Amino acid sequence: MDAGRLSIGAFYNPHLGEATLAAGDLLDHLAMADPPRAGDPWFPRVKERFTLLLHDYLGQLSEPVEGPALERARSLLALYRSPWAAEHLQRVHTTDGGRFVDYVFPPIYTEDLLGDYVRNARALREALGAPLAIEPIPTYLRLPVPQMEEAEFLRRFFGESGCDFLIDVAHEWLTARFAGRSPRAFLEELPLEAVTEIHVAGTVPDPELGEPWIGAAVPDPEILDLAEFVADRAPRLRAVTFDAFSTSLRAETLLEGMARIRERFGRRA
Amino acid sequence: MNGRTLHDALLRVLTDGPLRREVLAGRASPERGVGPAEAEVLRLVDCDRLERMARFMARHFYRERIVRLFSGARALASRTGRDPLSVLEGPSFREYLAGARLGSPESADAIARLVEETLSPEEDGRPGDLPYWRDLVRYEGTLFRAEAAPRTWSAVREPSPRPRRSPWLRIAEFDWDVPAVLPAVLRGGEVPLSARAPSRLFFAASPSGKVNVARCPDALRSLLEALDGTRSPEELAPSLGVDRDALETTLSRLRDLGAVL
Repeated sequence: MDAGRLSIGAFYNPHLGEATLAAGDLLDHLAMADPPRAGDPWFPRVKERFTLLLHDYLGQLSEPVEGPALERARSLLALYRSPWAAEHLQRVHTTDGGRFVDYVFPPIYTEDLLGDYVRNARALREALGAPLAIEPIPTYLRLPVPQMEEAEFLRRFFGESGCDFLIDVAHEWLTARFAGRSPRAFLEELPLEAVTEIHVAGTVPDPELGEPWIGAAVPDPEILDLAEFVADRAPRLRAVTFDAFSTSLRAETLLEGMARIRERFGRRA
Repeated sequence: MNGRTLHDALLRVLTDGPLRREVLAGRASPERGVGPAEAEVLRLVDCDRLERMARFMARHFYRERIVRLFSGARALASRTGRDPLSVLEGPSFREYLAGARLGSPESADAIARLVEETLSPEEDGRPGDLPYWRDLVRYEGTLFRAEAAPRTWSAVREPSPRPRRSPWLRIAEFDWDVPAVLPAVLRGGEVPLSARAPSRLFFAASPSGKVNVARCPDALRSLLEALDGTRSPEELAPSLGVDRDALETTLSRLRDLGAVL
């Protein structure tokens, strides 16, 4: 990955390994959400052909990432030769680990949790010896307690932890929608100067929420417009990634999504 | 109360239907991790959104596990006309979500039963020309249930000085050698005739949540049965007639697999 050139890519979906390799110059990089499966026939060539970005579950950063979890993160970073690591700003299990959701879920934006996230993210970044990009999660359920707005929490988090901002534009679009706000006004408040990677995702209706949610779909024009809006305000931007990671993702969707992202960002690459 | 205790309480009510009903009905449950202050806040949350988010999380939780743990049945869906994921569209699944306790053995068993009913609706439970189908479904159902064991997120789980078999360990016997059937099914190839052989397997979840399957010959079954948590390896070795170092090595491997605590 060239430091001065915008990289455009997608997530690696092993069931689409052959189509991914055949996609030619549509993809510069692949984000790795899971370690390669033993016996994945495509991975050796994928590793040779593309820049790989570590975007696995490393640990929830309200707790320290240490012991086997830290060793795993180091080992994956080395395997992929990833220029940076990425993790979500999420809280998916209780402090004692007894209850967990196993799916992305945002923390509450309180002072005590900010301190924990800053401390543990900084420690992980230093332990890995690599930049660490952090991706916030949509807030659907807001608790009626005093807490910071997401923008303030993020501004302080990135300022104090030294981490980079991985912004998923569809995530922020959802948060704005759930809060009844204009997505563009919401995005303008975020610390976009810290953004180094943009995720662009499609959305689909969710049967439980009764609202859209991230899905294995082609990003629609509004999300692509917002991604360009962010890119125009992100001087440190290095990568744009089509965020579609699902066993239900079809090759046609991957290729069409990449083509649309290339249309918008190809001139910057 | 601070952000951490409140978020812990939120995760508890999102993942536990019965607890959620108690808290929303005005009863704090400190013994189950929801103190009075946290319960007070949670009662003020938009109830409709809380319920929707709980069902959303439950759907993702079990969908991911059906994809991962019923992979053989999924690979055969076009041939059998029965896709494990179709259970997600059924009214029984949706009704169950509101009361599920994510990660609990009870909920895993309830969801596994729904999937098994979807896959084997007929009396013989064997669609078409797949003589191993019943065993494959039972194997994957056992995987699904075995996965519902406590998870250790970051710290290393300390081994007990008196090893005991995991209460979540499962041992099952099959007419087919399912570990030989499954790779062929996933490749889309023919199942070798040599796979028509009885097998006994144990299923255990490692502390990281990975489900492990291993063959369980008589000697290993005897060892697992002897591990009742009352004796140290030093005391166990003579009664089992094995070398203590060899026993320690085996116990270490079984701990990694989640079969022994």
